Amino acid sequence: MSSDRRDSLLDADWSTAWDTLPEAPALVPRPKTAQITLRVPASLLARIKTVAAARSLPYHALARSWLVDGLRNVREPEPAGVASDEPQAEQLNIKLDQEVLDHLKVRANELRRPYHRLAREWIETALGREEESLGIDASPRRPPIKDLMVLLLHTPGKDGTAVRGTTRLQKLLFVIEQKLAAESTSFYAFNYGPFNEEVNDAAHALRLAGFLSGAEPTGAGPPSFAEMMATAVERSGPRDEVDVEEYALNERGHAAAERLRQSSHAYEQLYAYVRSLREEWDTPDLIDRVYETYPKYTERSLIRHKVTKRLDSRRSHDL
Amino acid sequence: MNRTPLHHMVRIRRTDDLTFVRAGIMDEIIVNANQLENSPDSTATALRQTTLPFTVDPVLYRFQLPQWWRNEKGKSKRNYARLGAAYVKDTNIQITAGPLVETVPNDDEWCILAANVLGYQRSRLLQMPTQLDLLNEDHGRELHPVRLVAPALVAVSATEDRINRLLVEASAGAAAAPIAVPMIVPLDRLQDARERDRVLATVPTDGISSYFLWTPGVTEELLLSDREIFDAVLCLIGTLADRGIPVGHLHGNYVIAALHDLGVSAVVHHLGWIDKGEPVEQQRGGLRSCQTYVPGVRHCVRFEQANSLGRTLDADAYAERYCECAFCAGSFSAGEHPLDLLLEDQYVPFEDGRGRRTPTGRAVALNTWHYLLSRRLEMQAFSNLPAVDVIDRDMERAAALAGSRDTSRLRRLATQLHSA
Repeated sequence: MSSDRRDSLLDADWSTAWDTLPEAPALVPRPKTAQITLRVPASLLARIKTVAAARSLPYHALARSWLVDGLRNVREPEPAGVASDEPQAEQLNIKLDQEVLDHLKVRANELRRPYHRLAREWIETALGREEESLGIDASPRRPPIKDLMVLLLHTPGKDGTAVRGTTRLQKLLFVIEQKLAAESTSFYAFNYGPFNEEVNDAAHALRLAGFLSGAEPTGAGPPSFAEMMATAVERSGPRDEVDVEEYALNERGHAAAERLRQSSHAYEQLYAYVRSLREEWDTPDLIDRVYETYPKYTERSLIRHKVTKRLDSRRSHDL
Repeated sequence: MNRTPLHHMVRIRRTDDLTFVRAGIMDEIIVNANQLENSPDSTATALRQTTLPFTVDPVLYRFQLPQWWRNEKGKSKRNYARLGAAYVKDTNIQITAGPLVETVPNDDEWCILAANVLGYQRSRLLQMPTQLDLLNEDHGRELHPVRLVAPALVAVSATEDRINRLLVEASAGAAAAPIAVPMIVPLDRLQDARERDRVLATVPTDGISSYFLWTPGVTEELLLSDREIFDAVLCLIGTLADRGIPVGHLHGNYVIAALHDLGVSAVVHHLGWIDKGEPVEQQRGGLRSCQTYVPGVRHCVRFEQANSLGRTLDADAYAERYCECAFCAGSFSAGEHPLDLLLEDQYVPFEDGRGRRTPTGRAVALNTWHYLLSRRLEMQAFSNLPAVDVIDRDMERAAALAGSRDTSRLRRLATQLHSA
């Protein structure tokens, strides 16, 4: 090349031609699919799963469709809702086309938000719409009996954290539920005062999950002889050996209870409240106090007269 | 030659049964919907702890007559009331007001009912996780049933046949996938060839993945002693299997498992070892009878008889003649005779001064393991060998353990199978 030719090339304005050049190929081919991992509150994940179940769809696919829908829509998502104060303790993995992820990042940049946050907000907005259309009530409800039971057994009583006897466990949870949400109680009057079969069900579930003392989580394969014998030891032998059942969390149970307590501000408060109720009510005369305070729930009781007599005698003694 | 395995399904009827749900000793779990409503949390927990597939039996037939779902005081049990409410959502049906066929006003409502029953199977267990479950690292799988079961009534007459067909067709439409269809044939129609044909004619084939037969009231003894009934059951199984759709039995036993080569693909059994022919109505509680399952003779016997048959046997003779299950073998290894554990009982006095003996709670638990493991071995035997070979082997064992009576019982079955 002559020096004149080289100089003319160097002096030329190439800016217009540069803009028309095709993109250089990536040095490493980009994968066609990508994954985005969102940290979400446990309650949000539970709501997504509920809607997915109602729609008979896998929840990952449903969340992806909401995200893609958000990208197509020019509207901004609504700000984070009810779960915003909860720690984002759960993970939601969503597989996306690489192009969709790129699009999400561009949109997030335009809206000046981190793209993970934008994705989460789109999902939460769509979730609210779906819940409304399906008639699902996502407002916070009475805490499930199982969660209350775990918190109760995690609080210190006068003789440790254990609760002795099914009747005492029933009555303590009854009092807690009455104080929290008496209008939506699931307890009813039965043979020994207020009763709720959910309590027995929850206790059995905790035992099967290996959260109660003496219980191990169920093994994956066929049972060993020792495991079979363990299921027998839990049960009664001849009648004179019958003992009062004791409900106590084991190490795994306490760890689970602690996770639950720390999972949100609301559960922290609930734990503190359950603890104060236990301090107030877990006394030797619990049954008498329940009968005295909640007479409606003792109408069918087989021991009502006995308890009434005991209460009368105490009153006359106090006088 | 490769043989198709016999699918072994265990029915969960009560909360106590959940303790025995373990992979490796069953292929699938079938949960009664009334039990699921009775203890949803522990049922969900037990299912999450295993990798076993599961199915929910909708037990719609329980609503067919009030005495089948009400308690001894004539009141609707709370779990049935909840189940019924879920089934009749968005309809005008008062499900616990009387016999079901009288409370459903028209075909449209039957179709909504069918769709609701399918929706219940799909979603009931998905509603269960609490915050505690979701935070648990071992939370496990989401609970989706492996198959959807069409609701069905006991086929008492042509009226129920027509409704059953309607329910199957509505369920297949609502499921948008092949469904399992129960066929519940009462004894009087089972024994009548024309009635059998009528029932069969109303059971559709389109959109069906499997049939599940059940003949309430037909005990194993009845099957073995009444050739007509045996042939009738065989006829139903054969006719359904000839349609190229797998056939299971909802309340199977040793004799039903022996029909594997003649068309039975799956056997469901519950964890109670006393054969009552599985009546339709909800079984009442009460003291258990002192009986135990003896695999050596393939039926259950009273404690005293079991004691005289097996207590003097050493580990090898016991395994050869009485039982070879993992519980009994483990018991010998631990230095204890299994019958000392299995036959533990106690005297329970009644208020009227009388009383009776009943197994202790722990003996019930151990008998349940022993029964379940023994049934598993039977299923495996019928999966691996032709039924006649299994029965021949069992006859030899029964003769060594108990002599001629039990041998002749098994010989009757072999003869019936040979001539089938």
